[in-house]
Amino acid sequence: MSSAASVGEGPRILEVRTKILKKNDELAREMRTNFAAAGVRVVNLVSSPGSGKTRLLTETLRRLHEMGRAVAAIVGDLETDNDARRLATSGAPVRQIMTHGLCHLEAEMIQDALAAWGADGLAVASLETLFIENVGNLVCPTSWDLGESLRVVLMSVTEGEDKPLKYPGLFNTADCVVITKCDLAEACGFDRAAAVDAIQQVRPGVRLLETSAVTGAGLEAWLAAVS
Amino acid sequence: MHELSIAMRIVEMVEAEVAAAGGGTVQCVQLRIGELAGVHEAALRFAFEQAREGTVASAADLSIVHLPVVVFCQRCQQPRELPRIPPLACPECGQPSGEIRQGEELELESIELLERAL
Repeated sequence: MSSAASVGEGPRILEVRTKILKKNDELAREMRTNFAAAGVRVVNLVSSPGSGKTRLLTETLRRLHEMGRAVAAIVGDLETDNDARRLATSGAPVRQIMTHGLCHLEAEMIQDALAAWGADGLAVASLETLFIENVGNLVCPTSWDLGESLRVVLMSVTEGEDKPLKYPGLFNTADCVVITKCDLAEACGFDRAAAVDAIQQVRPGVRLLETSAVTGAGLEAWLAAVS
Repeated sequence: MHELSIAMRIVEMVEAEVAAAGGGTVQCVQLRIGELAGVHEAALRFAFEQAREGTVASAADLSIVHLPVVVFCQRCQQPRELPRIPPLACPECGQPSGEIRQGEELELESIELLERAL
């Protein structure tokens, strides 16, 4: 990989020119290939804490599970398995990753979780869709590819319309942006046009969906997008 | 604080490269970091100071080249460096563009190596 560009007096320069997250990128690429070969769609949900990932995902899993679709979810949090318990009320298989302080999920954690799950009898290859609920964070998950086929960035109407402008790096990696908690839009004085404009400024042309897991509004389009 | 994960990867890579090069002491590690990489320089420097301890890079400096975002403007048919983000739009004509040509880099560029211990 490296080559000594200069030898002699002074320091040697080793030219490396390698991505720092190469190991993660390579593993993620391999996982993506394997998921695709097995026909498993992988959806990575990323957002700030409290924007409604778990609520939307619980409703998503419940509906798809009731329709007989083979779905499962992995959820990452620093501590507790509270979200796994919430998601499991859907009836779908769920696995918690506790990162114990780490602010994002990495490809290796997904690989390990799937291996452990396999040992417990869940055949990942038999899934139609695997959802990954990332650690709530709008910065750190940006650079960690998890082998997903779809990265969804959520923002809720309660967070402020300019969230995408404040965190352009993460929003820029979105394949799809979902505005959540739309049932609260009026109460929050949510300015939809400003939010859409902010999203377009950091991810021009990205697919936009609007949902309420409480009223069910927008869920049909969302389910069609992820299953 | 994902900078600690990144710093640990940098040190792992540096150790492997130095071992492959026959050993030595690292004087400086040069990185290329794009503006969209989501890396905070002060946090990375702090994390690197922790991660380098007890390794061949224990006295190494970090040299960071920051790369601005460059998008390709479909209207102008030109790559355009953005003076600021957001918006991801051509600074000349205002056309939004998500075609990022530079700015997502997170790379270990090179390692300055002394043959003997400092």
